[in-house]
Amino acid sequence: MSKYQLGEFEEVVLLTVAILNGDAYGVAIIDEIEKRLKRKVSLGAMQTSLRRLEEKGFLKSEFGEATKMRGGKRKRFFFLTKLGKTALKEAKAQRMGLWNAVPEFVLN
Amino acid sequence: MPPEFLLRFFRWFCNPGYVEDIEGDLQEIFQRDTSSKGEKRARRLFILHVLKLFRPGIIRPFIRIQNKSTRYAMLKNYLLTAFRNMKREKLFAVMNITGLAIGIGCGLVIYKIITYEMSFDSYHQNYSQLYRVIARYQHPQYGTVYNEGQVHPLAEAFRNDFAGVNATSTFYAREGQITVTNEKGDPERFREYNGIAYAEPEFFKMFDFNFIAGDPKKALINRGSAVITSSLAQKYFKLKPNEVSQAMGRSIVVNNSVNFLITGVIEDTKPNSDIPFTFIGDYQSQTASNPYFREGTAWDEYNSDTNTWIQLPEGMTAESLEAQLPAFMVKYSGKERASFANYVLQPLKDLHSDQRVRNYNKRQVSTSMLGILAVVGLFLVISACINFINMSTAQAIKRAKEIGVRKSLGVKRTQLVNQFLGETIFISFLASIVGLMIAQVLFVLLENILGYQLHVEIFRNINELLFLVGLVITIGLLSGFYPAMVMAGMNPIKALKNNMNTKSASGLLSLRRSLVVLQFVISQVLIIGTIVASRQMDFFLGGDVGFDREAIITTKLPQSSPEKLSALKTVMQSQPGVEQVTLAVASPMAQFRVNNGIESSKIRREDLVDGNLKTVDEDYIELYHLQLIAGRNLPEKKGTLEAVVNRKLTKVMGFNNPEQAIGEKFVYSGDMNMTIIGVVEDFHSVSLHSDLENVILSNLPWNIKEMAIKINTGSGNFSDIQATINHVKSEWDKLYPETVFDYSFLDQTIARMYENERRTSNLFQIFSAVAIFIGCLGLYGLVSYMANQKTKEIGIRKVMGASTTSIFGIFSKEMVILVIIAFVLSAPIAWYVMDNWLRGFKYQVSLSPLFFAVALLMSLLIAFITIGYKAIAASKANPVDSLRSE
Repeated sequence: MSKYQLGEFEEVVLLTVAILNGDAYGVAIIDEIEKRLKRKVSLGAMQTSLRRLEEKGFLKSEFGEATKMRGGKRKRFFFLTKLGKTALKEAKAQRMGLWNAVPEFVLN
Repeated sequence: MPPEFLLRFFRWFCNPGYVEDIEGDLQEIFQRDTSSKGEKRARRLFILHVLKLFRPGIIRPFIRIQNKSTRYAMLKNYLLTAFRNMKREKLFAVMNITGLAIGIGCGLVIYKIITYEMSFDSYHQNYSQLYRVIARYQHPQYGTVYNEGQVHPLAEAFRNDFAGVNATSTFYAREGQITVTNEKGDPERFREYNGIAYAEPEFFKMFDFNFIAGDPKKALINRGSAVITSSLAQKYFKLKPNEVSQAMGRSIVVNNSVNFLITGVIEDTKPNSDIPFTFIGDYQSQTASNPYFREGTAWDEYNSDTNTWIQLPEGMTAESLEAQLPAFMVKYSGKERASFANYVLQPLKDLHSDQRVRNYNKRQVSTSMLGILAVVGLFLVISACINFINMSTAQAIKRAKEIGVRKSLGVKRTQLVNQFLGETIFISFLASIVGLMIAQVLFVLLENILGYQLHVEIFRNINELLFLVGLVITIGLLSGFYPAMVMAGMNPIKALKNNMNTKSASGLLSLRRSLVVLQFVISQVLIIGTIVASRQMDFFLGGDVGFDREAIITTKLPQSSPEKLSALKTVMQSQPGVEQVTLAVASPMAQFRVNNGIESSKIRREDLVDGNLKTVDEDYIELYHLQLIAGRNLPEKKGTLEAVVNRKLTKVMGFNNPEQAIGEKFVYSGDMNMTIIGVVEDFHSVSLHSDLENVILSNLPWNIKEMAIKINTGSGNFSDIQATINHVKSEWDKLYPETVFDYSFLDQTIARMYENERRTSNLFQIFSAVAIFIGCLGLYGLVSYMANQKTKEIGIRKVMGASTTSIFGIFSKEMVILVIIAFVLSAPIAWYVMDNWLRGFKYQVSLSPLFFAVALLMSLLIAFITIGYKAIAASKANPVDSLRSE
């Protein structure tokens, strides 16, 4: 067991934060996931996951500017931490390791 | 803007560090939903979004770590101890919360039932000024009698004679057949079982109906105009809900006789209305449903479906108008009638509860019934509190050390009391969450019994929320107070030395005992009530009524010529599976009755003897198995004015032997000279709520309204019965293509007369089950307490050689005594209450001692099952374990 163990949803969230590169806040992340993966995500599930990832140290966050659209409330933008990047790489390496170990004919 | 209260709720529960940006996200999603899906849907989705945020990780931490002041630190400590205690005594915690939750759930359910039943028709703007005119008669035999039936011109007379008073006559036909011609030009028929009514134009000025289309002031002015509800418009004209106004000006035919133009479409009647009109025709056109209407000018044509409604002007009281009504009665109905009859004003708000007269829904709930329900609810809540008291005091000893430490560290008594009270209120708030679920489950269970479904609406209905919060706090205080006093009052030295012996707690124990007795009194009263109510129900449904009601179907007949009727009868009799057919006014026990005065050489006019005239045919007596005790059956020939009467009428005429009555002549309704040719044994012509009537059966050609068919059930096979009904239906469709064949089984029709009692009986069943359950929890708590107290005693006894059974005996003896004391107290209460309830019926089961014995046995049995496990466990415990701890 690696100490960077990620859940499936957590991995998706981290990757999306990486894709959005600096523009990642709650609604934007949801939109991106819905667009790319065609899967419904509730605000509740997303926010819980973001806070958890922040608590674990994979993400850090800071407030952005206030907009009228949001009733004058600031956005909170999320960024990957060094630990988060390592965790993603680790996850990818694990997957690739598994993929490479699958004999070629099995999936054909 | 998103709903403010939801935002506020969100801000309340959300972790303060997250509030700003998540609220921003919520706003953004809401804005987007509004522009893509519309405001209404966005609001609904918003609820979902907020609810989905209510989860660990987002909600603020229960226990604040911040040490702003010692108060917070103390609060944190209290909560922590409360949680630790619940965790250590999981079973107790679960039982405590369950008991309170049931109490809260039932309290809420009963509160909602009562407020719902009291809300009937209260949405009318003129609610407090609307009255129905009912008649009060002084009858030499029956005493004071009330009747809601009036004559047609009465409303007009009210309008003319009393300035400022508005009035309308209404005629409630209830059922009817509606024919609509569709686009292809074919007739489509609909059978309506409820809601067909006729009213004068004033009706819509007095009562509030929301018009979707049409003008309320003009809708009923012209002859042949009708207002229908939105759902009828959708049904008849195949319209979508938003296009019902297209029904305006379309035409429909009622009972194949009168053509109506739609002049208004109203919103559907609210479920909490006792004026359930769905089709309202103009008053003059009621000829479609009422063959006796004539011109509606007669002052002697009383019909219980004809009602007079009045609206008093501001400032006029009902009493001041009532005072003028005797003179009004003399003016229009003459001195003779005024000598025994009088007008009374029934407020609209009593329409739902006043059982002296009927309402249109035939579903009335008396105020006393609601009172009983409230008392039952109160009992359940008290019983739940008792549980809590018992179980927390049982636990008090286990918390003695905690209290000892707190006290020796200088905690004041009031602080301890506050701590424990706070703890109880906190627990009862936890319980209220479970209670809400219980309430929702109960609402579903009760839907069949009540006939409507209610919902938990604490976020929409502020009164309900207040009630719930009030209930929770009251329950918390009520059940927390005593345990808090006990615990706070403990002697710290003794508590720390673990020296809380039974002796010092004996006064406490007797209080606990009496509380358990009280719980058992409550459950036993309810058990006895349940038994009596369901026995009475069985009696209603299965008791001997003097006629046969099995395998008989009845169907309403349209107006038809004698030739057509006799053709119908001949055809029906020849259908396979049909045993016998009779055409008559109604079945032996029926709500439709013709009652008029009887005079003869033996009965004077002033005696006001009246009789129920049933127009029947020669097969009626045989089909219904009425017992002919003298004379002969009715002849086949119609209109001979020969009569078969019941035994009661012959007794009223003064004959002890029914044979002597044969050949006796009497005058019915002032102009019909009838001769008695036969006598039948008495049978119940009205439901068992009322006394036997004088009944006259005669073979008259008019008023033939119902066909009854006795089906041969020789094979006992249900599909055969269905086959017979199908034969009958196909023949019916040939003879009456324009009338829908619509039948019902007589036994079911009769069962429906006892809906009120069925509801009472079922409600009793459910709530007594709940009371028993709560009582069991209480008993369990008591036994656990005893087991804790007596651990050492049992250990010593066992060492000395006591057997398991003899120790089990210690527990059961105590319990049997408690149950018997409870029984002695509850039996008279139950007897008094149920005796009163039964007195409301003319025919009732007698209160047999057996009911009480069964209740006692049941509670003993339940008690044994409840204590069984704990008592056996205690008596089987290894004495080494209990004695070693010394």
